[in-house]
Amino acid sequence: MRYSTLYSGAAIMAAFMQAAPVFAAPGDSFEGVGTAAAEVTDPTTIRRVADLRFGRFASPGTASTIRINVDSSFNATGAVVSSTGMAQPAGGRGPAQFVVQQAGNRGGTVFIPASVILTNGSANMTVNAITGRLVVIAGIGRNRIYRLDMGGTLQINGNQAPGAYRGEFDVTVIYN
Amino acid sequence: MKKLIVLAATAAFISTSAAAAPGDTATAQGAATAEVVAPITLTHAAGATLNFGTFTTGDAGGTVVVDRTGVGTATGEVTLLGGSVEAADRFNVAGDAGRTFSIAATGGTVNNGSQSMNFTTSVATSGALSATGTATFAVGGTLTVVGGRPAGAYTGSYNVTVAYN
Repeated sequence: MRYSTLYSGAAIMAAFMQAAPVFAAPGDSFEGVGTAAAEVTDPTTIRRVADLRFGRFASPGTASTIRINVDSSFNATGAVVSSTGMAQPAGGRGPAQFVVQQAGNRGGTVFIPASVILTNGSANMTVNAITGRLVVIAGIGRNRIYRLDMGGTLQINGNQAPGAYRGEFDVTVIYN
Repeated sequence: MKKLIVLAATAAFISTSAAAAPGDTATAQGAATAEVVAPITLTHAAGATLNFGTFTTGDAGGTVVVDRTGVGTATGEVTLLGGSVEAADRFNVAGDAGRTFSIAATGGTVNNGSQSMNFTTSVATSGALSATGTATFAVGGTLTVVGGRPAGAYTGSYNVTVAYN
């Protein structure tokens, strides 16, 4: 019974929000609700591996997009296309990646953001159309490890101010 | 049923600190990054032109070579006249400080309205922007002179392209 499923939709998310906690503390804890004893799972149940990297490009004269897909491919539209061939920073372009460990025999839900705002301190860009997929990378039976790949589309404004842009987001796993 | 699913949530979800409730969660922080650099712009230096000077063609023609410093040399039966002024062309580049760029220039044709002659260009293949984000480069060329072409002023154009490395 192993499979992973992708859903998108804020409505589903909203339902989960009301019922599910979000712990953002470092390290991962397991709370056995309704029992006297606490259990401790593996120290890491979701771990960041890579950022969502849109790479380096020249400020386009008109609004443009760069999309990073979960399979690491990318495509660009608009005036930015002409500069996507320029030398890329270390690490190049690519999807965000996380390693997610299944908690024992339980399933769960991985929440990814619908959008992320990147800023250079004064100017912003938005990442939307975020997509994710789970790929089984290790484990059998009850102890399965997934890699979460997360892509998105960067909305670049015309004459976007130069600079290093960064935006942070949380990815949360809620185990059943 | 054991499964992991991925849900796209809204940004509001990310910034919400939900109260504790049954269930177990784990959160990791990721980041999205992008580096925007100033666009590269190319401007023809005011008044500059690739000038092959004033010459006679002779019966068999030849070439006029103008190097990137603007020095002209005639070959074959072509003779540059006294007082001929040859010059290299110049361009200005602006963009991201310290970044290198590639340069490409086409050849072209000069004509006097009825007759034409071809030329090729000579330019560095790359350049580097200064700490203030500027650069200049020169373009020389070789004009192939056809013997017996009528006297006159021949003009033409060519294209130059720069792109970030």
